[in-house]
Amino acid sequence: MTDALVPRGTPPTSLAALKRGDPAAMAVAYERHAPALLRTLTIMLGERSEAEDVVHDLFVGLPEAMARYEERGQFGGWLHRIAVRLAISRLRRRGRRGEVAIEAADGVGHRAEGEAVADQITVTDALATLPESLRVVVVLREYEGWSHREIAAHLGISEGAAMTRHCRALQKLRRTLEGDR
Amino acid sequence: MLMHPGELALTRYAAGSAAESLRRRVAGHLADCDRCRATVQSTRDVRAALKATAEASAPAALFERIMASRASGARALLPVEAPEALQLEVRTLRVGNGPTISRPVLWAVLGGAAAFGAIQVGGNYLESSAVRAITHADRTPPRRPAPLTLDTSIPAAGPLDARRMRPLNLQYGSISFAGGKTQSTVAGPRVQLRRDGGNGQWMAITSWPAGTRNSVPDTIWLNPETLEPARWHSSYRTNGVTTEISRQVAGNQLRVRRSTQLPAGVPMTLARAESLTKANGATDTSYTLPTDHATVALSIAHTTALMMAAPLAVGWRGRFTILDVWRRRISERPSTITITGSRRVVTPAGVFDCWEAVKRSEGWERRQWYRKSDGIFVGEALADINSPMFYRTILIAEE
Repeated sequence: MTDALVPRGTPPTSLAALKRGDPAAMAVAYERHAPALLRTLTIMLGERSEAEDVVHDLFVGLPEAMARYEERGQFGGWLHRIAVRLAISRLRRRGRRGEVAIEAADGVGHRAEGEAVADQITVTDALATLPESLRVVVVLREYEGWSHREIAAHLGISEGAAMTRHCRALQKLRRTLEGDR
Repeated sequence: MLMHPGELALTRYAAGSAAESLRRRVAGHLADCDRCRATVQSTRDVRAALKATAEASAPAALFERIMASRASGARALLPVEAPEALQLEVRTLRVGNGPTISRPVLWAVLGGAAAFGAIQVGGNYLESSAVRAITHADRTPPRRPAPLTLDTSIPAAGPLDARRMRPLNLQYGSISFAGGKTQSTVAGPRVQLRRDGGNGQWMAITSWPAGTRNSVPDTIWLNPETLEPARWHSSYRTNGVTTEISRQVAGNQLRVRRSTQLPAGVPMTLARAESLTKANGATDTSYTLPTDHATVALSIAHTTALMMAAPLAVGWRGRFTILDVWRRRISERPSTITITGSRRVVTPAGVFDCWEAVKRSEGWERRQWYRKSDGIFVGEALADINSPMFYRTILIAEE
């Protein structure tokens, strides 16, 4: 049975059903991938509403884009790459630099446990204070696991610049979290 | 005296991106230096804290918005291809494993394949000035979109002139374009305008190519004078389940009838049938929703009809409300079209003098072109055409 509804965490979503835009398959894919996508995109774009717009566009175009998905790859990784490209395209269009997002702490990193909340918000707040050029690189490296080469190609910078930005971002985050501003 | 490595060197070491010589030097130093060891550990803690950040919640409302957009016929072309720098690397590696092919020959083959997919056109549908802007996109300073203005709208029976309408049969294609090349082409919607022989109403028909949406065409019957929708009908099929939706405007009421038919004679578990029914709504329902919109745009064909009947000129600004009906709710997406100038647009269907317009709708911004002679939709670019990667819908045939 190819169109089976699959509980969360049990791969794979039926790719054939996704290609047809089947609502149940779309729901499974959304439930499985949207939380991590929204985390990455909210930090990259600095605004939750923009992250939701990207996820909206991503899933609206997903069934047709599936025609070019090669099954030997990881579906989740493929989806994340497209989402990141959409986000980069948005960043290029708006051309904002170094803005501190007000919304960044909302909707991302929420957790119920006591101390964890303080830690989480601190890391998220620290990320929000980074200039966009550093924030994007650290998100792609730490959350998405991209190589410096991949980051460089997508952002149109050199591999060395990607590596330096990653290290500068970590340095700044460390100082912010240690209170050494 | 102990020589400490610089902070950047320590960060590189902690991030795992130090070259071998630096890695050995720092490792040797760390064995004897508590201070630098603490810096490295602190950087590793930051990385661990980043990885431990919880995922965001994914709201059900967002999923409903996605499905409502798809149900209304919205589609988005996604940047599936990696940037050229990465593609070149992959292709070169593949060539290395097989027969030796020189890079120019390889690119000629790939370029030929791309051109074939692009309906025998290399993708430069715009004038050369626009192509130059794309090629030099990285040197173009980023621009902030102009502020949104919503000061005028198209009154129901005002400047629209239904006498400008004529029968149309237009075929569009969707093209993704990056790095000065067409990346992919897919067939887009077909738009037809014609008179209903029975009641003389205009019919605005949008049909999608097979494979992108299993549907019969969306058909909207328009009031012959005001071009408001009188009734409309759509139908789609997923997994053998056919859903038909018909809506009728009566005063300020929208009557909706939705019927879903599960496939007969196909073995299906109860859970599967229930989930499909849940996803598609009840099997046969009728309901009424309030609406008081004088001017709504419900499909590409309907928008085309409205623009044909509108007195377009530079500075003209129209406001449409796009109505999505999904699970017994109407969501409204305000949308504006502003004519900003003129442009000559080259398409596979011909070369046209066009009005250039900016269309904005809920986070989307599109640059569009409408033919000056009769207002028909010639094409649009999603995103800024000065960005390195963008998508276009463009007229490819007119009958």
